[in-house]
Order: sequence, then C-alpha cells, then structure tokens
Amino acid sequence: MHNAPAMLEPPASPVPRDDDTIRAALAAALDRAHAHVRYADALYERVFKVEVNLLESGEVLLKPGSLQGALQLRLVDAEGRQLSAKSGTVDPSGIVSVVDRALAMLALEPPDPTFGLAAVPNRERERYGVAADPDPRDIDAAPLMSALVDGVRAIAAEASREGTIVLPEVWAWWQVEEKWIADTEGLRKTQTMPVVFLQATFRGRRGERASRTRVRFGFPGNIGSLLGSDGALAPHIAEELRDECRAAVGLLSARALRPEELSSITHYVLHKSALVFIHEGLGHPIEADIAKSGGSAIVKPDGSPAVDPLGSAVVRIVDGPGINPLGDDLWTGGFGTEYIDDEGVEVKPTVLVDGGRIVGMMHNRETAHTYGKKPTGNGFSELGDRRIVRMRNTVLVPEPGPCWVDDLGALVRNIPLGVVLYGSVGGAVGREGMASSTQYGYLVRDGRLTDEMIMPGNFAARTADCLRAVEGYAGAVDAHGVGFCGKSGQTRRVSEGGPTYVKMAVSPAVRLSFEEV
Amino acid sequence: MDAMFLAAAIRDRVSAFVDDVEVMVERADRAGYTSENGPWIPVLEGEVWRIAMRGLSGGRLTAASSTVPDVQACADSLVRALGCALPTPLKAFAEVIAVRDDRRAYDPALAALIEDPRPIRAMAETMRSRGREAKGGLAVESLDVVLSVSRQQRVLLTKAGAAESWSTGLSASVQMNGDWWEEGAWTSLPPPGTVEGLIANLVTRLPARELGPAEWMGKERETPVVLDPGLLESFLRKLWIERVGRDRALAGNKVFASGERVADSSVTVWDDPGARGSFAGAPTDDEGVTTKRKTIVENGIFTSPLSDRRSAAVAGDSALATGNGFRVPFIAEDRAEAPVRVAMGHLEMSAGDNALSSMVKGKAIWVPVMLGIHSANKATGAFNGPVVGGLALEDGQPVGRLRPGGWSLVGNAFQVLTGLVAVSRERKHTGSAELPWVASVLRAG
Repeated sequence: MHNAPAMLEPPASPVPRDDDTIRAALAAALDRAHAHVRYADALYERVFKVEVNLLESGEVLLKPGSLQGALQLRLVDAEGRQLSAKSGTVDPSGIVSVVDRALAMLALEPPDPTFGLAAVPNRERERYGVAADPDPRDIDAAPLMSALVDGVRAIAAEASREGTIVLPEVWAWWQVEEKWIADTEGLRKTQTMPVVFLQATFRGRRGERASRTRVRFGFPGNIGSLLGSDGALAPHIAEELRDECRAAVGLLSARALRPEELSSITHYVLHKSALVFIHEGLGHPIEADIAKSGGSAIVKPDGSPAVDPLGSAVVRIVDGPGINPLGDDLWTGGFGTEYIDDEGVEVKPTVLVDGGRIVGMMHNRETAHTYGKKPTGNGFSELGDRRIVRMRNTVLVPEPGPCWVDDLGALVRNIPLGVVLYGSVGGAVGREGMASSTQYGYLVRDGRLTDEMIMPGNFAARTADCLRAVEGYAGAVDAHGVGFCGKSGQTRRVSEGGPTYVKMAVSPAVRLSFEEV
Repeated sequence: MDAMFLAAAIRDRVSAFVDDVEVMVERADRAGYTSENGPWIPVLEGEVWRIAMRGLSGGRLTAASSTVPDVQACADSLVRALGCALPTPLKAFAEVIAVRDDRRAYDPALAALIEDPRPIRAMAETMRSRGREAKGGLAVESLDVVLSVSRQQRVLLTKAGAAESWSTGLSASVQMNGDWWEEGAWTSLPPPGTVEGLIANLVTRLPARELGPAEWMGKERETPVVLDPGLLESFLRKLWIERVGRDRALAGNKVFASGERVADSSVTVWDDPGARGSFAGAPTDDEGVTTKRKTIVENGIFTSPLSDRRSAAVAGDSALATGNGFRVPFIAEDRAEAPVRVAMGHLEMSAGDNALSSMVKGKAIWVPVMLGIHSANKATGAFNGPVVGGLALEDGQPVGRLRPGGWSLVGNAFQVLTGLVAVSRERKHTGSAELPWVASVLRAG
C-alpha cells in the first residue's frame, strides 16, 4: 500500500506577470531597508480570482476578476532586533512610508542575540510552479463557473421530491497565485500556482426535520480538475456531490444513537472525509512555533517529545506535497501543495511521526535556526502577514502490515457494535485536545455495516494519547480533506488525509457524541 | 491616497458603463506587539486597502473586488464583470445619505498610537510583568500577549451619495499556559489599568483544583452552564442568524415566525448597527442603508426578520431593508470579496436580575469559549464542542478549573435562550455587542 516517498522534479516553471515591475518594487524596498539593517527579506503575493457564489438566499453572484496583493517585509538588524511589516501597496511612496515607520518601531526593541534565520537552501533556483492553462485572466471564465453552479443545482433538484426540499449552496473559485521572494543577499525566487476550489452545501428539509451536508474539492491546477471536456461537472466530482446530496436527504430520516448503544460501542471507523483530527490534533502541536511557545501538549519547548510513544507502532504522519494512492509525492494533488514556501524554501516531505514516535517538526526559517535544523518549507503568510509555521498536506501514511486491509468489510469484521463516520464541516484545536464535527454515520453491528443512518456528531480527541487507539486501516491513502486553516489570524489552504478508513477503539482519549433528532 | 478620492475615481471611471455603481473602500493601518512567550515581535501594517465594487446594468448585477489601490485596474475589473452580470431584483443601489467624516467609533488618542506605538509597547510590557507577578491557583508556565491598535477610513459611495467614517480599535488578548485566556476590544482608549489588568484578572481567578466531568458531576448529564457574553454573541451571530435572516426565509429555509416564542420572557435582544463605540457600529451598512436600532426579540417573542436590500426587494417592499446587508467573510474570503449577506450589526440584550457572582445556586460550570461553533449545524442549531478555559462553580463561586480537553458541551443554539436559568444584571461590551452572562441547562460531560 505504501512506497517510500520519492521527490519528483517539478516541471518547468513560468515567469509571473509584471515580473520586472514587482522585482523593481521589492528591490527598492530592500534597498531602503538595507541602509539601516543587516538583513531584510520581502515577499509580495498576488492572487487573481474568478469566483461564483450560490448564496443561501438563492442569489447567484459571479465575480470574474478579483485581485488581491500585499507586501511583507522583514527587517533584522545587527543585534537581532526583528520586525514584520505589511504594506498594501508597492507604490514607491507607500513603501517608503512603511519602511520608515518600521525602522522607527524596530529601534524601540532591545537586542535579541538569540534571533536568527536558517539559510534558504538551493538559492540559485529562481522559478517554480506551473502555468495556468488556460489562464483565467485571458479567457471568459464565467460560463465555466456557471457550469459548476448549474451542476450542483441539478443534483439538488433531482433529490427534491415528495415533500422533500434540497436547497444547494455553492462557493467556487479558480485563482492564479503568484509570489515573489527576495532578500538583501541576492535571493530571488518566484512561484506561479493555479488552484481550483468547489464547495457545495445541501440543506434538506421535510416538514419539521432539517439537515445539512457539505462537501469540498480543491486542487492545485486548472478548472479542468472540476469540469469534464463536455463542460459539465467531471463524473467523479458529480458522483461525490450526489452522495452528499443523498446523505442530506437520508439525514431527514436518520436516528439518534440510543444511550445504551453509545455505551456499548467498541469502535469508531473514520472515513477519509472525517480525518480532520490529523490536522487539528496532531499537526498543529508539531508546528515548531507552537512547541517553542509552550502551546503543544506533545512536544516540549526544547523540541523533545513530551509524549513517547505518541501512537501505536503503525502510525506514520507526513506533511508535505500531495500524495498519490501509493503514498508518493504528487505535485498535482493536495489542496495545500506549493513548490516553495513564502520564505523561498523548497517544500519537502516532513515526517512528523514514524513508528508511533514523534521524529520531526515543521519549521520556518526562524524556528529552524532556534532548533538547529534545516527549514522544511513550512513558512507561510496570508497576503502580507507575518510568516509563521503552517501545514501543507498532512497525511496519515501508515506502515504496511496486517493491520492495513483492503476494504471496509474486512476492517469492521470483528466489531460487535460500532459507527462508521463520514464528513466534517470543520474542527478546532486547543492545547490538550481537539474537536471536529461529523456529518453522518452508519451503524456497524456484528461485524457488518448496516444501512442505519446516525445523526451528525462531534469527535473529540485528547491529543496526547488518541493515536494509541488506532487499530487498523483500509483502502488507499489520499489527501482528501480540503480545508482552510486558521492560525494567528491568518488563513491558509491545506489538506489532511490518510487511508480511506481508519479504525479506532473506544478509549478515554476519544469521545463521540451525537445530535438528537 | 485618500479612500474617498479612490472611491470617487473608480465610480467616475465606470459610470458611463453602468446604470448604477456602488464602491466601498477601506484603508487601514495597524501597529502592535505579540510575544509568543518570548521576546516582543513588533508588527506593523500600513496602506492596507479593501475595495469592493458592484455594478448594475440593464437589471443585472455584478461585483468585483481588489486590495490593490489602482483606479484603472479596479474600474477595468468591474467593467469586465458586467459581461457576466446576472438578473437581480435591485433597481438601483441605495441613496446613501451624505455623511462626511463620521467618527462615532474613533478616538484620536488611539489613532496617535499608530504613529508613536511606544505607549502600546509599555502597556504590553506591563501586562506581561503583571502576569508573571500575579498569584493564582495555577502556576504561570507560558504567557502569550497580543496587543494592537488600528485605524480605518471607510467610504461607501454610489451615484446618489457617499458616506465616510473613521474608526479606531484597540485589541488585547492574553493566553496563559496555552489553555486559559482573556481578551478585550475597545474603539477608544479604556480607563487606565483596564488593559493591563486583563492578565491579572485571568491569573488570579483560576482555582488550584482541576476537575474532570466525572469528578464534578459523575456521568455526562444536563447541568446549568453560565455562558460568557462572547460565547453568547457567537451563538447569535453564527447560528441565530440562520433563523432571523429574511434571505434565509425567502430561500425556503426554516426560520423563526413573527410572534413565535424563541426565548425566555425575560429576554429582549436588539440589533443596532449604528451604535457608537462599537466595532459593529457605522452610519450605514455595507450597501449604504442608514443603520437604525431594531428589536429582534421582545420579551422572548421574535418580532421581525433582518433584511438586506435584495431580500427586501424580493419580498416586494424596499422599505423592509433594515440596514443589515454586510460583507461577512466566509472562511478564507477577504471582506472585500465577500458577497453582501444578511447579518447582525452591533447586538445588545437586556440585563437580568441576578448578580453575576451568584447567578446559579449549587453546582454549575462557566464556559467562556467552546471550540467549533463554526462547524455547528446551521440547519438544526445543534452544537457539540469542547470547552476551553472553563470553571466549575459552586453557588456562583469558582471552585475548580475544568480540565483542559476533558469537557464538551452539547445543545441546541435555538433553545439556549428558551431554557434560561438566570440572566446577569451585569453586561459586558465585547467590542461588537453588549450582552449579559446567561445560564442555561445544557448537556455537559
């Protein structure tokens, strides 16, 4: 089921538009700063987006050309003082104003001899990414975006009958992300990245019963990832949308789990659409800035594991590029995929947990310096904000073995009473634990999956020991979960994933509860 | 560049191509400090722009947005968007009542701190040192302090008028040992010591004893829960809006009916998007409708839905627009990108009769934060999430800290205010709402 990760050489990369203009603006900002500080680096990010909304009101809104851009400038003086400044403009007078105010703020700080930035590897390579083909800046993309709405509406209409109403909502975009990174030591890197995203929500209603399901798709790439050559929804996308729409209808008849059933359950099986706990509970606490500040329950501030082992011996977690079903790196998959981070560091697969033990952390240049490690390409910013440690695609990639079976039937064979849980509309994490919603479930009884649908629920796990409850897996690995991770006021596209099904035993570290009807 | 100049220039460039145009421009600056349990990290933002545009042409509506203050590029993007405008019930944009230089949420003393942030830094330093000195039931292992001051100019302009307002903000948050926090937000400089005192309040209120659900209640059960005003605000803004927005009703979703009992008879809730001194207070909503106070729930009875201009037009009466059309970002959206949706402005709820210090007799828990409200079920109102930073109360007095990661709350947001046990006579200004603490019976465990 799994091969050792192998780095693939990214394809030839395009030059972003307005390259000369942006390079000149960054050079001007860096020159201004360098007259006063030892080191400075700059990041300019620009996003062109085509977007469509089918709102909860039923209104459709097409936006064929939105533009975002911002500059992030980091100043480091000879005594380790450092500052992050954001400028919404690269207009020369605006940059000068921001740089001068930043220098004044920097002067207020005491020296910090501990501060430093690890070197950027492979400084010579300048261009990264893939071309947008077609490029939404050059074509009328409105019909393509409308096709997404039409497709989702048709699926909802098919399901609305005999007193059952299904109301769809859609949020979809196709964007071209461009970034430039430069520093006062001659670093020059750019990346171009087209990305597509589709989210559909189905709200079911029958009499007094109401339900909701949501599904997301997100890929680095072009609109062809969502639409077939006939201009309609790609068949595999349409099929998954139909599944979620049917689930919204099914939930109108779903039942709550009875207290005696809840107390008798021995196992939970998480579908790959419900693996957000990998991101929330096991990704965030292994971000080096979280560990450094004392915010991790599983990694001490000195970088050593606070819990060892963290999980059973078959647990392996990797953050990096997208992966294919064999667990190999895949640059065209994984919603969080980038070739370089926002500090210019090439994205590498980072093994966080191996054999159930914490073996590595995610770093930006600052934390890599602190811990004496190489940066891992996890330093990201949201449009001009400070670059912090962020996840990319965080995936449970188990070691092959007898606990990894081919299908769900084999995985549930020895479960007397359990629930298979599907979907999540989000999660959240604290220092000790995390929670994520589950959209629906199916009861497992006497080793067989039933068609008894269970109401939405909540999956809460204690970070330090929830992985010890993992007993087995079924199906291929996939970075399936598409999300937007919030941290320090910033949002970033990410994914999480793992095998198609993950089986966990009931334990004090994992708690589920379910909605009443 | 001035926001009014930019908005007017964009409007003038596109006027020939449209029947009507609406341009909203925000220009912001921010200065602050964050500690991350280490040396201070200064953070500066300058010339941060948000430009949101809508155009009407031949009964069709379109939109575009940008964060780049380039007049020609902005105008081009809106004109280009006209090619895919879609039918709309809106005949024109709002006739914005001319407002110039509104400063209902602006404090020049705060604005001055953007240019000279030394007092902010001193305040942050005092917060941290007081936190280290304060004595409570839990030793301080780590302290994260975030303090920042912001200033914003906002212009909303149509062919028929323009509104300009200025606002300032001071926000402070402290997090202790990763699990416990306190925060505040003000549009003007609060009385001396208020911000600095946040961290001491946090440290000293934490009892030494840590309690899991089994130790405090036995098994999972229904119990009185005191909800912090910030958590109550989240329930109202993120879940109640699904039942009080006219747009949701017109789409066929289940909503509250006028005259329906939706809360205890002691509850009156009103929405006041024009409130002074609130981050949610401005002279107009995000589509130029003059904001006004209106009651949502009166003595427990739902009065009438909140509307934007579109939902009012669909309902056949433009006078139904309540000034509740806001660009509320959804997850990764920028505010300028977000479509106009029906949303709440500044919120208030009437105070109750109970002293906060003795709201509930016997055993209860106090919950300031519950994770995952954004993932609660908007269709049904069901929520189910872990508690963060809660306390166990005995006759209203803190007797233990709720064990981090050990507690969850289960309930239904649409029933929280019907099952009230008590409402405090004290109210708290969260920055965007002024609400009491409420105690309701929920399943905890």
